[in-house]
Formats: sequence, C-alpha cells, structure tokens
Amino acid sequence: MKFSIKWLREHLRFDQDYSNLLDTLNKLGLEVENMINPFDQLKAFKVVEILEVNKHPNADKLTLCQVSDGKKKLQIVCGAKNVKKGLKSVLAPVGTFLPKNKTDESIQIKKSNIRGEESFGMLCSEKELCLSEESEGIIELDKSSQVGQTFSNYLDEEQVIVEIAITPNRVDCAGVRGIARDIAASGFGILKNINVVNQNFEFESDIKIHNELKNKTCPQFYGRIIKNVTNNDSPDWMVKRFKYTDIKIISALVDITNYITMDNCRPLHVFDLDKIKGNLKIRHSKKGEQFEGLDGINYNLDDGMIVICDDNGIISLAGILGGLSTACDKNTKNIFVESAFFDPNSIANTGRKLNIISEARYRFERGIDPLSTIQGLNFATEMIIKNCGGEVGSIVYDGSENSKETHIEIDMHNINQILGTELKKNFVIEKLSGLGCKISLKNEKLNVIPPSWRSDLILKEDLIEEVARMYGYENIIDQPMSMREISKGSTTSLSQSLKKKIARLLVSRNFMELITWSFVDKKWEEKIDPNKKKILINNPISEELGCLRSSLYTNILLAIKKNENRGMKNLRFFEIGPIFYGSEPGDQDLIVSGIITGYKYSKDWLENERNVDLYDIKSHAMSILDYVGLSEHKLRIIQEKKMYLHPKKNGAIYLGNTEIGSFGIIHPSINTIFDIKSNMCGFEINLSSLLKFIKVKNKSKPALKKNIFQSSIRDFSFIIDKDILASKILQSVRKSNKEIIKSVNIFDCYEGRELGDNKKAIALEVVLQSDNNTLSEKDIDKVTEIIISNVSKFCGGKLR
Amino acid sequence: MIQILSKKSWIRFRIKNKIKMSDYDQLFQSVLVEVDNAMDSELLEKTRVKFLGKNGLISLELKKISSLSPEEKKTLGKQLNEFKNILLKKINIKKKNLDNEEIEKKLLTEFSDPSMPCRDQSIITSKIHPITQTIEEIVSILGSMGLSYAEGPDIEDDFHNFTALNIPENHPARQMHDTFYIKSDDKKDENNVLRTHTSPVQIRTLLKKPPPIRIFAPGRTYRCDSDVTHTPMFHQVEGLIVEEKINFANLKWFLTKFCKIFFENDNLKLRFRPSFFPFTEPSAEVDINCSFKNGKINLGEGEKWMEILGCGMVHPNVYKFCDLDSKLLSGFAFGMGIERLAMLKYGMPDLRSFFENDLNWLKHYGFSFLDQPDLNWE
Repeated sequence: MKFSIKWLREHLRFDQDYSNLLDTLNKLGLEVENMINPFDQLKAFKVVEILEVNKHPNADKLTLCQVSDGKKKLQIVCGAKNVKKGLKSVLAPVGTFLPKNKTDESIQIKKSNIRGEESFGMLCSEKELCLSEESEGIIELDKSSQVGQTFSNYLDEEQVIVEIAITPNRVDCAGVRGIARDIAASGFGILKNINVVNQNFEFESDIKIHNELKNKTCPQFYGRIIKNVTNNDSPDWMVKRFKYTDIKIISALVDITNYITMDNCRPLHVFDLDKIKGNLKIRHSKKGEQFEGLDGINYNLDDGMIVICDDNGIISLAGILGGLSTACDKNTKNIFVESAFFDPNSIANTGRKLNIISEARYRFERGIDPLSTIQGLNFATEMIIKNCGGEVGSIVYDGSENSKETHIEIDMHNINQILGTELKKNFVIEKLSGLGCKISLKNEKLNVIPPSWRSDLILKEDLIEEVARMYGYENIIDQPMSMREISKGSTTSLSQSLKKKIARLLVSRNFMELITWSFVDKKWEEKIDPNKKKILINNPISEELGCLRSSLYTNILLAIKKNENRGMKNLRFFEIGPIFYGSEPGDQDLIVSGIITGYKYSKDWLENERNVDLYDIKSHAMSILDYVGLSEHKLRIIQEKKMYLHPKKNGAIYLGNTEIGSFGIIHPSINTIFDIKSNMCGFEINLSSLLKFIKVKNKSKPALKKNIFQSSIRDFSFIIDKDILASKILQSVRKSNKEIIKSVNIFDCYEGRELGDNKKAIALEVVLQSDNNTLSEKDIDKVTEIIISNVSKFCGGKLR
Repeated sequence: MIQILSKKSWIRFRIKNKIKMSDYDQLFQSVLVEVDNAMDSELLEKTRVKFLGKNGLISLELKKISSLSPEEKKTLGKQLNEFKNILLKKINIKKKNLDNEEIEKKLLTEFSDPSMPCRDQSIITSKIHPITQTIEEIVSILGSMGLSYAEGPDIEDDFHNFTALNIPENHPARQMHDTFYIKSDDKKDENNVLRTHTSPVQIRTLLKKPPPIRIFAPGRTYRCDSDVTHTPMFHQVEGLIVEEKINFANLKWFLTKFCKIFFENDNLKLRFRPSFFPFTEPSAEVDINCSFKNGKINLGEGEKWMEILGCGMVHPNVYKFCDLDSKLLSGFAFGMGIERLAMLKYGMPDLRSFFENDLNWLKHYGFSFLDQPDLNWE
C-alpha cells in the first residue's frame, strides 16, 4: 500500500518528522517497505534553463545542450526528445547521487565524455528521480521556476511516498484513513474528523433491488441513482495523487470509486444506469453462467458466486469485478452507485477460483468495515456531485441489517501472563479504547467490543496483541527462562546424526556436497528408470521441475553436465536428501548418492592416469557402510540389472533380503542421454532402509582380546569360472573353519589365455590363528585341505 | 707413524716398534691409533679382526697369558682385558660414526624436489554445503538450549500444512504461500502439498506427545515462486516450546540469545515488530541491526534493520486442532529461513546460487569437513 504524506495529512495532524513516522509505522506492525523522500534525495538538484540545443556531432540521438544554472553555463549531453531552447528542467550536477530504487545501487553523476563531447551533469526525467514509475523525456518545469534554485523547492508532500506492507489481518489499513487511525491510537498525531454529509435527495431512485442473499452472503446492499452527471477528467489533485501512488486514471466516476477504496477502504461500484435493463437482483450464480468483466475477459462461473443481475443477466461479479456491459464511459449521463457488504469467504472463494486479482476483492475477502456502507455511499455521492455535477436520487436498500458485535472477555492476568508484563488496567482500557474498542467492566474482567473495522479481533489473544502493539514490543523486557535439562542423546535423531556424519565422511574423501531441487524433469526420470512411480506436481514452476525425484542421480548428473560444460573434470559429487515413492505424507526415503567421473589420477606426475572404476566407487560406498558397522562380510553383494548401470559392472548391496544400496559404472546410454562426455561411476545407499538395521551402540567397548599364539599365513591360488563372484569364494573359505580362519584377503585376480576361456585365477591370503594354542603343521594342513575342498565343492575351483 | 700391519706379524710389529713383551702401553697406543685411522667400515672391520678376531693379536696375547706365572697372569691379564673392553667400545663407536657418515653420504646422492606437487586428489578441496553447515550451527545452538530434533515429511496434507495451523481454506494467508500441489493417485478431493513451511512439524509434534515440548525441525520447504529473491525450494528451521508458563518476554529473551550466538556477535540488536502469522498470536517479525559499507553488510552496527525471522505465541486454535487445552498451555514458536541466515552471516550475495551447484561457488562458500559447528549457549 502506497500513500503520500500529503494524503496522510488529510486524516492525521502531526508535526513530528518523517523518521519518527516511519518508526511508528514499523512499531505498529505496518512494516515500511520503502520511502521516497525527494526533499532529502533531491536537495542538490537544480532548476536550470536550456539556453541552446545543438546536434551532437557524433551521435544522431543525442543533443548538446548549453544550460544555465543561474551562475554559469554548462554543457550537457542529453538523449531526451523533449529538449528545447528555453525549457526549464532539472539538473543533476556533477557529484550528486541519483535517488535509488529499493534494489539498485545508487549512481553518482560524474563529469563524463559521451562520444567525444564533455557533459557536466545530467538532465533528469521523473523516473530517474524516482518521482514516478514511468516517464517520457526530461522534466518540464513551469516557466516561472527560478533558475538556480534547488529543485526540492518545487516539490510538495504529494511526492513524498511511503510504501507499507499490510498483513492479511489488517485490512483496515488498506485505506489511508485506517492507517491514520492506527497511528493516532498509538499516540502519534491527532486523527482529523471528516464530516460526510448525508445528501438530500432530489428524486426517488427509480430502481428496485431484490437481494436474494440478504440472509446469506450479502447482508447489505445499498445504492442510489444520480442523474445528469458529466464523466469528465478527474481533478488535477487526484491525478497527481494517483500518479505517485500508481493508481490508473480512468475517468472521474471510476477514479472517485477507486479513491474511496484507497482512502477509506470502502470499495464501491458505479453502473451506467442507461445500460441497466430493468431492476437489480443479487443472487448466487449457477455453474456454466458466463460473465464478461471490465477487463474484457469472459469468465465461466461456478455455482454459488455472488452476482448482480439486471433483466438481461449478470452485470457484475459482486465485490470483485464490474461488468463490461454496464461500464461507465465518457458519454455516461445517469448512474447507479452501489455500496454493499459481501461475505469475505465467498469473495475469497470466487476470486481464487476465477483467479481475479482486484483492489475490491483484496479488501472484501479480508473483511471490510460492515458499517462503512452508507457512509461510503454518501462520500461517493458528495465527490461525484462536486466533480461531475448531477442530481441525487434517494437511497435504495435491501438487506438484513443486523451485523453482530463480537464480545471478548479478558482479565489483566491473561494479558500480563502471556506478555510477561505488569501492565495496569487503566493503561489497557485507555489503549483499547484508543483503538475504537468499547469496554465495560464486569467484576474484575473487561468486556471488550472491538470496533466494526477490526473484524480480525475475535479472541482474547487478539486483544493481547493489540495491547502489546500499543505498549510497544520493544518495551517488553526480555525474561530468561529455565533451560530445562534434556538428555544429550535426544538432541539429534539417529537419522540426523547419521546424515551429518556421512556428509563429512564423503567430503573427507573429496566429494563435493550438493543440494539440489527435490523435483526434476519427468523426461529425465523416465530415462533413468521408467519402472519407478513418478510423483507429479499439479502446478510446477516449469516442466523441468514438474516431477518429484525418485532418485538423486538425475540432479547430480545435471550438475555434472553443467560443470563439465564449464571445463571442470574429474568431478566427485554427492547429495544426501529425500526421494519420493508415493504422493502421501511419509512416502519418502532418505538417500545418499554420489557420482565420480573421469580419471582417478589425472595428469599426475607420480601415478599412471586411469579411469575411475567399479572398485573406486565401491570403496566410497563401503566406507559409509563400514562406519555404521556393516563390514563387507556382513553384506551380500551381487550383480543385478539396473537401467542406469553397466549390466556387468555393478553391485547390489543386500543386508539380509533388503537391498540397501548399489554401485556401478554408469551405463553409457546415460552419458548419451545427458550429453556427458566423461565416464562415470555412481553409488546410492538408502539410509532409511539402513537405519532399520542400525542399533544404537553401547558406549562401553568390549575388552580387547589379545591373542598370544602365533598366527600362520597360507597363500592359495584357485582357477575358477570367471562369473563366480569373489564373495562366494570368500564365503567358502571362511566357513572352512570359522574359529581358526581370522581373515581372508584376495591379493590377486588374473585372467589369461593359458587358464582357458571364462576362467580366472584368484589368489588368496588366509590368516590362521587359534585362540587356545599355537597351531601345529598338522592343524594347518587340515584346515588347508578343507579350504581346498570347499572351494572346489561350492565354487568349482581348482588349486592352481 | 705406525703402519698397518699384517695379521701374523705380531713379533715383527713388536720389534719394529720396539715394544717390549711386557710393555703393553705402547702396544695399546698403536692399536688405538690404527682404529682411529680406519677410513671406512670395511677397514674398521679388518682392524677389528686383526686385533680381536679369533687369531687376532689381542686374542692371541690373552691365550699366551695362561702360560705365565700367576702373578704375571694377574697383572697382565687385567691390563689386557681392560684394554680389550676399551678397544671394543672404541670400535663400536667408530663403527656407528662411520655408518652414519656413509648413510649421510648416500642420502646426499639422492634427491626429491619438495616443491613438486602432492598426488592428485590427495588434498581435500571438497566442501560441506553452506546450507548443511548453517543447519548444523543452528542445531548445535538450539540443542544446547535444550531443544530436541523433530522432523516431518516433505509431502504434507492440507490438515497439517494449513488447517491445523489456523489457515482455513479461503484465508488470504494461503495465497501468500504459493503452494505446490501433488497429483494424487486416487481421485481424492484434496490434493496433498509440498510443505510450504516447516510449521506442520509443530502439529505433528503436538499430536504425538503432550507438552512440555521443546523441539526444533530443520528441513526443505517449497513455494511456487522463482525470481531473484525466491527459489521454489528453500530451507527453514522451526522451533516450538510449549509448557505451562511461557510468555512473550521469554520469547524475546530466547531469540535474542539465539541470534547473538548464531551471528557470534554480542553487540547485535534485535527489533521485534508486530506482524501476522495465522498460527501465532501475538506475532512478531524480528530484525537485526546492520549497516552497509561499500556494498558490504555489517551486522550488529548501524541503524538499518534486516529481517531474519518470524515468531509468536502459539495461537489457541492450534492447541484446539491438536486436542489440547489452550487454557493450560502457553508457548512460542519461531521459524527462520536458513539461506537468509547463511547469506547474512557468510556474505553470499545471491540466493539462487545455493542451488546452482557451481563447483567454484561451492569451493568458495563451502566449509571444511573438519569445521564441525560447536556453537553453544553457555
């Protein structure tokens, strides 16, 4: 909401300076978003006269102006079309700063050389001085302006603009009057009385109103006819006021209703009476009815929207948008002025369904003052007569009239307990009365009736906020509270602490942490895995962000592509975040996923360059599982077909029968789809699944077992079918004697023609040790035999 | 100068050096000199064998003693044995010195340039994302203030995201939320939403267990808005304390304390401004003071104000929706945007870059994995 200081002064008498005013607004919760104070910002700007205009020798669109600032002659290069000799305009002299908009950096005017010609300052447009949103050409000042004077002498407070943010509960401040009222209630300035005269009517308004909704969504509908008006241009003061506050000037009749909307938060509507056929009816629309709005758009209505009809049909979408068929224009002679109260809920519903944004809807759906109807009508009548002439008809009305008052009971204890204050009853009564509340005392309690314009005050908590606002939040003194003992363990959840640690583990392995959108393009999701269910967003920002992700890969791949395009190589990215498998709350899993690309060592002077491979990515995945106590022999790692992984170079990690993760070389088709050049390996681990298996560890550790008996090492080499997994061989070896075999380690794997096709040689180092004695040769031989026979039995391996 | 002598020429050695049989002193001297003169460990070893080896001169001399008279045996034996020990010690020391010298000499022939680079990727240049770091900082502080972790799903239903938070269907506040709706599987009347704030966690917590409650809930939030200052996904941290006698003055104290610790700035001033959130009453927005110099923001100094969070006393309707008796309870809630807090604390200029995943940005603004936040209220 934008308003000028001059506008505010019509309702509020005050002599404090602007900074006090802004401070007060903020303290009241009317957050100041911006203030344009040209007096301050334009002090150094000067009134100048253009003495001479010549073409710029090197630029067609520029002119060379000689201007006088009253003391000396200056050359200014100017691009505006309206420069002419004798024009008085505004100069930003060298060294001044242009006033800045909210976001821009302020620009300092410097002596410059524009296409070979020197320029000592700048001739300014209104836009450049933030005096209006749009302007053409430089400012043209009145002939009588004094050359050499500061420009701010030629400004008035209509150009000092305050912009405030209005919270949804404070519709009463969507009118300058309401803002003034709130400021005055806080003790800043005095609210002026404005007398609206009840106009005597000159004839009976010859129109009937049939309000079907008077007991429902339209409790009040007032109106009157005014005849023989002239719908000319609005008066200069209003044009100027609208210009600085961005309201569109249309015609006097429309401008007056807009003005009362902005001034009094009282939306009205003016119909061209001669375009209305017969009488008026207020009713609910039926599904499928059509309505052509003032904006030229044809709206398809639903059941239950409040509409105003004449004998021909719908002429207005009540409280939201007038109709084109009865709109006023320059030729309008006779009018019907409407002032009504519509149910906020109904207006909100209609506005939302039809997606119409209007000043009237904004106010009605938040709940305007139900007692402003007649006053608004009188105010409009007065302004119309004054500006457009005409004869006033009688007021016609159809409504139920009984607006209910809210009663709130509150006692001092409530207030002070919630605020942590020690306020006195008199203070509270004074402040609430100042806001317009009617208060009576009932025993020790206050019975409060909020003013009609504050439909947001319903509960005692609402009143407590009002008291706090009036007292000033800053005056409530901080009060320490007890920091209740909470056992340290419950500060974070297991999943949260796991997430935190895995992130740091992966960064320590040189993975960069990414945070990417939870949504992706469905197109990519389909390519990664067409079998996974796609959860779609009804109203996405764009198609690229239209689908909730079912894996983290897509966004990591997109990040790889983007960085690869910038020339980055050998990337290592990971993310920890949710993926979605359903559209209900909780249909999500926490996943950690990482991708590495390119070379393990690149252009390294010590190591041979080689591509990252399955075992690099496996190490990263295993580092996480190992941290949570799942070393490899507790897991089952097998090969499985996954669309996005190399069919023969991948691993699926199982814990019991649950797949908790996978890793592998990313399928080359993914490279093609995403247009990524580097080779890639990726892993993903489902932390939600994993968490089900993690037990909170006992903090105390079991005693370290010292084995004093000598250990022996035996090496084996088996020739075995190529597709027999190492894990199977290891398993066969381990179960040969679980007590004595302390570790089995594969230290070589060799494939060569002499072994035969589809064969490989696997070399193992087995560490044997007994907890009870030193193993004899005989013991060792016995185990060795079992190992050899097991590998043969379970894996078909032969000792080489 | 004493010459180096062959092993079996003891007698000649003695004659030549005019050493009497019984006069060991001179003999000992010349032996020691010979040890001294051994130039490398090979010569030293030869010298050792010559004197102390099985047939070494000293060893032979010791054997001869057995044929002497007991008296001579005693004196000469003593002299010889003492000398033998001295000689052994001297040879050992000499050997160590020579060994060291030889190692040193060998090392000097080798060379590795210390200014050549480390192995590729051995230096950790990767970083923790600033959002993760900022969340952990906040978690660390709030945890130390006695709040515990709570969480809720990213997909929410209408009840938790709006209704129970006192935002009925046609409330204008809903329009301010720019909600993303999820297409549902079955044709339900109501669509689920991507949560527009972390506040639904308040509801989930209040429904799960009765107060007293002290929780915080960080997480992803979503709004259908995308421009310079808005991203369709962002992060918030919610806080909720519900007990019996919590008041607005406590809220002010709590958040002032929190902000000073988070921004690590004791001079920070806070401004509580009346505002509106449907689920709190009274409600406030909180600004911190700052100044701008050369396009840089300085917190805790100056007269300008920067909005950082929203808060208020829990609205009685929220208790009602959670089947709790508002007469018996009071509490406060707050919510803040992680990205905004990170930008203010660490000076990132642009919100959108948090999600652009540009390697250079991540390296520049990210945090080492060793920088584990340990901000604490005490």
